[in-house]
Amino acid sequence: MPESQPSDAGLLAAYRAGDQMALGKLIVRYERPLYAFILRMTGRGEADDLYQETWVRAIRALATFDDRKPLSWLFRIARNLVVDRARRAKRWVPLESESGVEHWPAGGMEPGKEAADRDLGRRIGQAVALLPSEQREVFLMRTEGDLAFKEIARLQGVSINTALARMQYALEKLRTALKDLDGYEEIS
Amino acid sequence: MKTCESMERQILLAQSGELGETELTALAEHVSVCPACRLYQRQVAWISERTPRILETKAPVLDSTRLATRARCRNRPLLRYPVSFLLGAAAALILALFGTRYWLADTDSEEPPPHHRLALLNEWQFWMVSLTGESAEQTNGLVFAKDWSQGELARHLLVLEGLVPEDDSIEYEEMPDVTPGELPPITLQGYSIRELLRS
Repeated sequence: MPESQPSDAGLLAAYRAGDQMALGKLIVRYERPLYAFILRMTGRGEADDLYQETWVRAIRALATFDDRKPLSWLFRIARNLVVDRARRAKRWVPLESESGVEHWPAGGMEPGKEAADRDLGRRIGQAVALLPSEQREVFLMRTEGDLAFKEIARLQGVSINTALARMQYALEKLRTALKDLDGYEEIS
Repeated sequence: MKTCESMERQILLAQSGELGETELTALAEHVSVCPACRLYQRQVAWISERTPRILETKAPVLDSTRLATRARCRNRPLLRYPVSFLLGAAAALILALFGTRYWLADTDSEEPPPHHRLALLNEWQFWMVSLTGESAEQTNGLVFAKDWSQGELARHLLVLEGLVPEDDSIEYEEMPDVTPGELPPITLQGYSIRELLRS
């Protein structure tokens, strides 16, 4: 029988009690959604720094960490960092060359499927990179972080209807970008 | 009758688990009779499911111990930048000490502050004032030390500069009157004091 995963609250409590390993497990648990969000909001050049900085800030403020929604809390920190960085650079997030378009799917699949997934990855990556930042935020928080729209709206400081509208716009652009894709047409 | 646009939002909310039973039932009824919404539902589910799987996201491996240390250091700058912190603290202490001393000085006096007075003196006078410190006073443009002859001052000056040993017996020539702005040609045992001081 597989060992049950410790809860977020359990890991946080263990870390607060001095268990360093608990923090490591928490980092591994959330590395994918958190890093994906930062990477596609900024670009490879800045993502690593911001990703580390997000964790440093999270650890520093562990006392106020919301045990029930750690990912949402991490997204909030990451989003603030991304916005600050963009504000300092007087620009918003970069376009496709830095925002994940070049990051192909990992290997290990059969050749045909790998090629199809590569094409799909490229199409989705390009389309996501070209989304306006507010729409991209909603899309990534929803698809990568699996956050509820209510939570996304709270993080963006907008109404839930605005968050939903942003997701609708984002999906509309993605649907257009994927229109002539083989696998996609099968479900049409 | 619900519009398809409002139903699209219901589809998104259903996928994120934010719809109640009643709304879910209404949505299912609409989708069953609306091909456009049915297509939208399928395509959105397809994109949402594929996106995180298909886009490579290789996060850097983080060392939790190192991160925790960084976070602790951030709260205590002394741990992060010990040298800079100590240098800064030392500079602040020195400024505080000298600033306080200057501030506590007798500022009510009509005399100009020390640095103004020194600016009026010639090089020799300046050296005497700076070396004798508080014992120096100004009279008619000349600088004397309280209870010290000019010869004693000159000897003291040379001892402090390490030019003569403290117990050396020195015969002084009489120091001429000093005109402000001029360095007098003072000699000691054949040597120019000015040259000695500069050597």
